[in-house]
Amino acid sequence: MNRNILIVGILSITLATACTEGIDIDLNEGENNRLVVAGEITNEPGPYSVRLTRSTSYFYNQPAPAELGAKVTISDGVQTLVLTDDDNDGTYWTDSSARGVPGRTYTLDIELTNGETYTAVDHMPIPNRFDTIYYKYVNEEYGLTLPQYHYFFYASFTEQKGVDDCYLIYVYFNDSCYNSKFEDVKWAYAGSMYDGCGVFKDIQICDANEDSIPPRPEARFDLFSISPEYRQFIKDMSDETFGNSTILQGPPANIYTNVSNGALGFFSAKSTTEPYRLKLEPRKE
Amino acid sequence: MKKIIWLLGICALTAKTAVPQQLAANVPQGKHTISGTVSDASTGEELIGATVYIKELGSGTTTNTYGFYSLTVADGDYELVAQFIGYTPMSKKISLKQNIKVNFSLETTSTEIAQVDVQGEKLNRNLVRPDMGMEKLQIATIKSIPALFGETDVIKSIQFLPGVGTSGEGFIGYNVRGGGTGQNMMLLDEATVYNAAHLFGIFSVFNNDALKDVKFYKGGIPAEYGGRLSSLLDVRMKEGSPQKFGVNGGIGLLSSRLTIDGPILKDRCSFIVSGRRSYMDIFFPLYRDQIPDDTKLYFYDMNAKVNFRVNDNNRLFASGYFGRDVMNYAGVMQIDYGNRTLTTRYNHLFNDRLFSNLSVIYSHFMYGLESDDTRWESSIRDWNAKADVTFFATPQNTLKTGGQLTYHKFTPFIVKAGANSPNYMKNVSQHNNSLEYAAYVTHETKIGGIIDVDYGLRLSMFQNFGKAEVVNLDENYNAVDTTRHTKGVFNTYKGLEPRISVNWRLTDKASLKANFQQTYQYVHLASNTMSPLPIDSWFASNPNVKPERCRMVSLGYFQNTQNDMYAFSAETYYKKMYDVVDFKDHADMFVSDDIATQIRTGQGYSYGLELMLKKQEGRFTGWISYTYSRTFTKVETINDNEYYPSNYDKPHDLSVVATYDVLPRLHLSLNWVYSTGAPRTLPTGRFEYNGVIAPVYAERNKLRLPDFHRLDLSATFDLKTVERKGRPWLEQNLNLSIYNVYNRHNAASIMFEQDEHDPSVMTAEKLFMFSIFPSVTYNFKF
Repeated sequence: MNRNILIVGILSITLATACTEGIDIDLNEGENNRLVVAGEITNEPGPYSVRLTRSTSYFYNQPAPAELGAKVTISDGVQTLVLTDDDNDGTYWTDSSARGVPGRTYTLDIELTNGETYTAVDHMPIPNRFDTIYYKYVNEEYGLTLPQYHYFFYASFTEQKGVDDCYLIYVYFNDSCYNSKFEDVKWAYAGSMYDGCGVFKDIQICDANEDSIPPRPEARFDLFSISPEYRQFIKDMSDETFGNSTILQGPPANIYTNVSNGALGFFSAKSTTEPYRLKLEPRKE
Repeated sequence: MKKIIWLLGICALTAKTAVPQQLAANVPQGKHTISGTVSDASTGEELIGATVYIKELGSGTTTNTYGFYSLTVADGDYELVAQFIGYTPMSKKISLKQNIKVNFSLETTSTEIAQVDVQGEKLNRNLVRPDMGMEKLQIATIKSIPALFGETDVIKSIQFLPGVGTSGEGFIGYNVRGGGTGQNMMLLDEATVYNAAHLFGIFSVFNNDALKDVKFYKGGIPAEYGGRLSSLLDVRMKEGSPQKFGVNGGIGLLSSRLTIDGPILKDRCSFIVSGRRSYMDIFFPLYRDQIPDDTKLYFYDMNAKVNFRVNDNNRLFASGYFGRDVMNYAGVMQIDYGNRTLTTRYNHLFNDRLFSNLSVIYSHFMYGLESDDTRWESSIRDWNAKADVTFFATPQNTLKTGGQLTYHKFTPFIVKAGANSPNYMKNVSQHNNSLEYAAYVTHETKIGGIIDVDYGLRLSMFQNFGKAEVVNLDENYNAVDTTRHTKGVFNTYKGLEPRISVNWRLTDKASLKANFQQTYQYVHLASNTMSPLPIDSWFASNPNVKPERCRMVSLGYFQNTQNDMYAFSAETYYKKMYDVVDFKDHADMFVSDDIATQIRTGQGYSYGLELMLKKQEGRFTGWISYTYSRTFTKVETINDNEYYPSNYDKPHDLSVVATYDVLPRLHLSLNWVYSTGAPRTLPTGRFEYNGVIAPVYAERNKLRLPDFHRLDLSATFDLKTVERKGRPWLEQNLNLSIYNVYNRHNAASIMFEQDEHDPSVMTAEKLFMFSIFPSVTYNFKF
């Protein structure tokens, strides 16, 4: 069941009599000046980046201030990568030869100009691959958002034994990412209702409106193995930033972070293998 | 505490052993029993809570739930009086030399359509009874209160009482003295109603036309009842007239209703059938730009009851309720939910002083979500057997004892996936089987004519049994493995629930009351109170979830003036709650291995002062109530394990309810409510992550919505009564009401939007449920 469709539909029905209007509200914003980390390392060719900014009051309404002049390193016990901010814009880069190794645990260390230090740790899981992906072409309206002509994509892959494996699935059409938003990202994980399935079989990983993708595109599917902590971060981001309706979720709560010392954001280590590619056939009338 | 339990235990034991002893013995020499029923002369319906007293002795009693009374006094010649407000008192001269039966049929004092329903009993009941925290709602009053869409409602009326808050405008959920919405027991003819909302709460499942008696306890819950921490709403259905057929109903903008009642066997067997159907969705085409075609939104429900008087000592009842809500969005997504209840009861009079009742009850609540070809369903089923015996020992002493056994069957979820859905979606959760037992004894006694004491003890027990998979959690509440149970009882909880209420009549016009109660709750509601949907998760205690427990003390002062025309009350309470549940941060409310992984438990406390001034008689009636209350919760892992204001912590709450009979045929009503804005967890800061703005929250529930206030008005015109053969044949009225007269847009929630063009800009919007809304309803009665 598509959660987003459900929310939109429920709101539309329940709030047939309800309306919204702008409100001036005092959020008692106070001091908001915490370090924010957005960084990742993968087993794909580098370079990798770590962006450092500051949190602000909620109605700051400007781009987040960058944290400049920090010392940033990523290490896995074997190698240590030093990141630099040559453009002086708060984004720190490794060199292009850097490359993560699945199975290793990566530690991000940050030292700010005022001497404060921060650490984030994430484990890069062993990558997995799709066994098969197939699609169905449908020429009738489906659900609330899919018009007459659309595609369903289904994937199967094998669960890794003895691991609480979590996955992110990105879909590209002609190299343009179709599900880059948090709420659109598909994930699969073995920690809950799918545990013990052995095989993730026929998971619906994408539904695409034909009008929103190029004609006869090449579809590419990336399967990233991620840590359960990163999955938690993405889920929280999706919950707290999409609609923040709190109708189908529990009370609002702060988003999970793996950065120490009161910072926000996430440093992730994820791995992937060769993407799965499909050529979509033209529509058969 | 142990002392109180010990003391009550001794009292209870004494009372329990006293019953058979007194039963074995004959009534003391020179004393005999007067017993019987009090009923409405026009319909034959028994009256609950009518007063029957002996003029010469100045002592008396009230009728029980079945309209029965019993008085044992010394032989002599007496004048026996029965009275009930809204009815003409009736007296009968009796000469008591042996046990006798005296039945009363009281005539109503008014024939107005709004007044023919059940009224309250004596106006000074608030002074003479120890049942502090209990409010007997009058159906006529409920009907006179202006309501949203003109739909008057029991639960909406409760929300005007001091100590009772609403979960949100238009919502049916309510909070009693700092308790959660799931801590309220709602009974319809003794059957548990798990969710009372129709159409998200615009209506409740309680159809006024089918109701006979409504009692609401926010404290002083009798030991006969249990299962919830905070309150009891005890709703009884009408039995139908055993004398003549009647039809009444109403035609409104959003719904219509029809009730038919009458005799099956004259004076012995009667029935009532009442149905409602809403049709709000017929207006949807007017909102075509907002609501797509094929969108449906309606409910229907039906109450039915049959009552059979076998003879003077035996009586059978069977009653049921069935209701269903359906919301279908554009023909592609559907939510449906509903309750079903069935109650069968057998009253037996062993003798003039020993009354018994045996009930067998079934209740069922389900809801389903359906989208595309996938359906998600959750349900609760209860089978319940209950036996009660009441012994009217003397006019000063009444003993009651009984027991109850309930089998709960919870089905947390069933996912039915269609052909297009992958296999892993086809998932059925484990059924959850449990038994809840209770035994109780109560004793109502009068001491020296100025002190009334109701005390009792309830012993409750809960057991999980049968095939089950129970997850074992680590210290972080993660499921580490599962224990599989195949049969038998694998977990037991039990609790002692002492209750005591004392009324000290300071003068004829003033009394002081005190109450203590301990309550246990074995089934829980993890509720997202922001949701107007019936998607609350009910679940039973198990090895991972302890029962909730509550202790409450309250103290009250009650004073009536001007011949009971005005009644003033001041009550204060302190409540401590243990093992209350709340969702963890970022809980998965739908599909989860075990709800225990998604909830956390903790404790809470609340305190408050409730003031109420009521004008009970005259052309102008109504009340003003003010409550100051606070309620706090501390739940593991939430808010850094510190206390935070509960979701329903609204310190100031003021209600004004007034009805004025401008003319004999024209009645005006008004209500105005004010409360502090509800607490909310709102962002105080933000951060950017890959171009997305994410919120940073301070403490849980630190901020508040703007204060809430609203005025509603209504006018009822009694239309000309149509007569046939010189007797009223058709009584009718027209009700016009305006909800939210000054069109205040009370915020139900605050939402934040990221600007499409400039993603660094965030704006706040409030969601408000209702603007000004006029409505009209035509009511009739044949």
